[in-house]
Amino acid sequence: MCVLVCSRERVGDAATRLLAELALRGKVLVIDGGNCFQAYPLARALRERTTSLDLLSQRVLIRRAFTAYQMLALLESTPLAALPVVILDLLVTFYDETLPAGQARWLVQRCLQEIERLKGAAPVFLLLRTCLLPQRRFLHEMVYQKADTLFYEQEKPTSFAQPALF
Amino acid sequence: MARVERTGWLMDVYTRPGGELVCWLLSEDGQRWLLPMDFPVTFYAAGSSAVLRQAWRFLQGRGVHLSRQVRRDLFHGERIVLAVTVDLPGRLAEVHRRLAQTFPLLDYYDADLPLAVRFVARTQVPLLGRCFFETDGQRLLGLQPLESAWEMQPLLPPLRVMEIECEANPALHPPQEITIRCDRRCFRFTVQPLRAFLANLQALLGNYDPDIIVTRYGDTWLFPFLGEHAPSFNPNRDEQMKVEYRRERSLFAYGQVLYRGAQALLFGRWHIDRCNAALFSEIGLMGALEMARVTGMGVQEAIRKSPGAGITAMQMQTALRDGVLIPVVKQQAESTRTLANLIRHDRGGMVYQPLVGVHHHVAELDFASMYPAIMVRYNISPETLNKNDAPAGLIPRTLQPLLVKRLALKQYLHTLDRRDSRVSDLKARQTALKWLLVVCFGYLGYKNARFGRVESHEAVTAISRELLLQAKENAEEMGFSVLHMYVDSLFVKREGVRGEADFLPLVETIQTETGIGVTLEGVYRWLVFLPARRDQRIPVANRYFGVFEDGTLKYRGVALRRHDTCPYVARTQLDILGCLAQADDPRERWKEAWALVNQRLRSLQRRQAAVEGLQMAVKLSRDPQAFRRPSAAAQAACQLQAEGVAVRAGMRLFFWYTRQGVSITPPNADDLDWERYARLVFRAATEILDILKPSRPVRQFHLPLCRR
Amino acid sequence: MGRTVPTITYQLNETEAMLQNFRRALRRGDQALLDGLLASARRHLPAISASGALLPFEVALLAMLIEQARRIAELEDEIDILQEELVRLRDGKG
Repeated sequence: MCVLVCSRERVGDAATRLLAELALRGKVLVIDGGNCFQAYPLARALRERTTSLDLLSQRVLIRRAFTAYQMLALLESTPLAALPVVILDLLVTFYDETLPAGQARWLVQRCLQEIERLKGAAPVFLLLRTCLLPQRRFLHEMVYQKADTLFYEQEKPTSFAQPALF
Repeated sequence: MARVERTGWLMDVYTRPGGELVCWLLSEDGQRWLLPMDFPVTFYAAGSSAVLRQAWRFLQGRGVHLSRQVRRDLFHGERIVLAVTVDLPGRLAEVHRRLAQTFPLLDYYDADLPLAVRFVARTQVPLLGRCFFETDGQRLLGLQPLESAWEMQPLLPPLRVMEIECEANPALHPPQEITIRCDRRCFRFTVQPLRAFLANLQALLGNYDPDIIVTRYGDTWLFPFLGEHAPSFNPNRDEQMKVEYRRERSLFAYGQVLYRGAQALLFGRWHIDRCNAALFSEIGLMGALEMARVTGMGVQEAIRKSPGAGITAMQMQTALRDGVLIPVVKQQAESTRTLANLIRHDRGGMVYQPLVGVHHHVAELDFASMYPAIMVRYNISPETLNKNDAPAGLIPRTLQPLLVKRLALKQYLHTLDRRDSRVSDLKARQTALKWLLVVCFGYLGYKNARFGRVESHEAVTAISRELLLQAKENAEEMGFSVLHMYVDSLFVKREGVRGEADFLPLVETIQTETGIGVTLEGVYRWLVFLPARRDQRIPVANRYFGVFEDGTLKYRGVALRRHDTCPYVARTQLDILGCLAQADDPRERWKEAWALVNQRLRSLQRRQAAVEGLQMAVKLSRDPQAFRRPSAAAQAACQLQAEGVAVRAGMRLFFWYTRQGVSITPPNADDLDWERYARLVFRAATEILDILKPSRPVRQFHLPLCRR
Repeated sequence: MGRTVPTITYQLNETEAMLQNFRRALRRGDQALLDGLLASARRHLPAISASGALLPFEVALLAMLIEQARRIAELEDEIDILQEELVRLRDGKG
């Protein structure tokens, strides 16, 4: 399981680039838990890489979760298949203040078990936004412990930066 | 007391601390009854047999009845469940909590239903509904319905209302004086000394014995204040009960941050706080009673919660009656779809940009309750998705009687004279039902809705777009120009067509073709569609003003409609519209309208406007500490916090613009920022009048072109 | 829950933002023309949305063409009127 942790704005962009590259190679399943799947930018990214936009747009498969329970239900109902799975913002729905912390911990545990299962058949990518809710940081720690590879993007410095040339 | 039989009304149900259910009834002889009743309740658990067996063993000896049953889940079909029955309904939550903590893997059903919803579904006696009951004076022995929630002209119980008001907003100034009105009498008491005030209040409660206490700031100040300073004072009719306090909270719903103040709920009588009841100003007591009657939610809950909670309660009632299990948490996941499919289907209602400018003799046609009507007609329900010829789904069956009742009330209203004394009550009831219908569509897609599903949400908008396109084609085939379409309404005109009768054939055609009721809202003498502020070439949906043939004004998307416009500016804009409405073409009155604006501007320059009319009201979009720039609302929030008021996102803040910034208390004339108010008036005037400027060429984009 | 795909209006705003560098490099007069073209597409938002296109800006270009065609039709009409007027004046009938 490969985990990328970055700012909220970057999750969408990183997902678009990753999905475009994966779609060039075959089918890919996206599970979006944080409303950060960018449909039109992905279409544009695909168009930049190929002329067969219609074909490639059929290769990107999407399922969305709007609550923590739905996220678990999505993962449970995803069959083992040889297609990579990209999970966006796995933890956002677990920040819900009406969801008790203990319940959130239990649900994330279950989700990670399901991800372990899926990992057996195809690569799984997790794109997480940095945790903004200190009292739920333990959920992130749970995910990091299960990661095979963890990329952690540093926050951009807010002071003056030279304009990028490339 | 011997066994007696009475006819009366079911007012409310609740549980006492011991867990037993109590019915509040009002009999026709005027007597109020608070009668405990045997009412065992059941919740269910489903999952693997091994875990269910463990759960069974866990529950044995804990004072519950257990049984193995087969019941229907809306999505999974029949399931073997462990039924857990509790004799005292007040104990159910605790039993469920313990079980769910120990066995989190199980799916739980019917475990968190509002008691009144359960009660209404089982007894068939609607809240506020007439019923026949038997009692021995100690307990309720029998209860039978005499009417349904869908009764068109229900006989209402004779309610006693007490109103309690304080003279100022307690958040800013501790009230000194309280006014109490009951039985056409008015009493004024000072709050201090508190003992005297309490004695008076207690005496009035005892003598008058109200069913409803309507207050201002009762939730956020009066009852919490009394609870703190006089713990022994009990405003409940049921002396075994204490006031139930609920905490304030901010929540995100309907695309905005909403604030719900703290709540103080009573037992054996109702408390309604005008300042904390979202719909009360619009639907009043009659609307609140109607909402409680059809939803099964208690009056105190119905008036404080969003109509969405009412729709959920109605769906629960349907499910309970059908024997369908109601899950504690929604688990339906979205099915897999492709990128192309998502882009094509994840869309809202149809919005057809208007043709900017002045138009004459325009008809506005509205689809009546379009989204709920689609859900009923096309059987849109989560469990019937993509199924042809399926029996009517849970959502359509819930909505059908609601649609029928609202339509019948509307039609009945049309038959009455405007001055008829029944009109205001009927309007309030009709509006209450309208709100339920308005939110029912959103609830289909709401993340926490028990029976919601995003695909059914999309199906409704897809059908609505198709219907509107059909309507457009019908109109164009009959020679009409479609000026604007907005989700469920369309604006059309045709050369030479003026009166309502000329548009009726179009109404009938659209109705026949689409199968959804269409109403002719009216024919505008003239109608002006406004462009975007930032670019006059860009049309904006749903931003217009116009006058109907009978002189009635209608306006959308202008300052007058916004909640953050101060009364003085709103009044000026309304007067401008009134001035324009006198002409057959608004451009004819452009000069007069500007004269009126200049007069108002001069009043501001001379500082002649009343300070109350300049009070701004802005809703705080986030918590004060989250503001990066000190906006007016943020400044007002800081001032309130300095006064010791807890400010939260979603609260409405009131303030005045001053030369120093803002002030939350009425400032002196010298301190007011008169120039800023003049700018607001000018902006509101140009919003309406810029497009009517005589020299401005108003371009019409119609083909073929009309030659002069 | 509900919609997660942004509206066509939002999408066109995004595309216009992406064109800002292109716009900056145009002469001022051309910038106004570009703004006019982009604004003209806004009159056809529902049609662009109804197309369900994966790349809505392609359809927006078509919408701009429609507005250009309309403008041409309007100007042709104006020319016809002026020509008729001219003929009348030349024949001394005016």
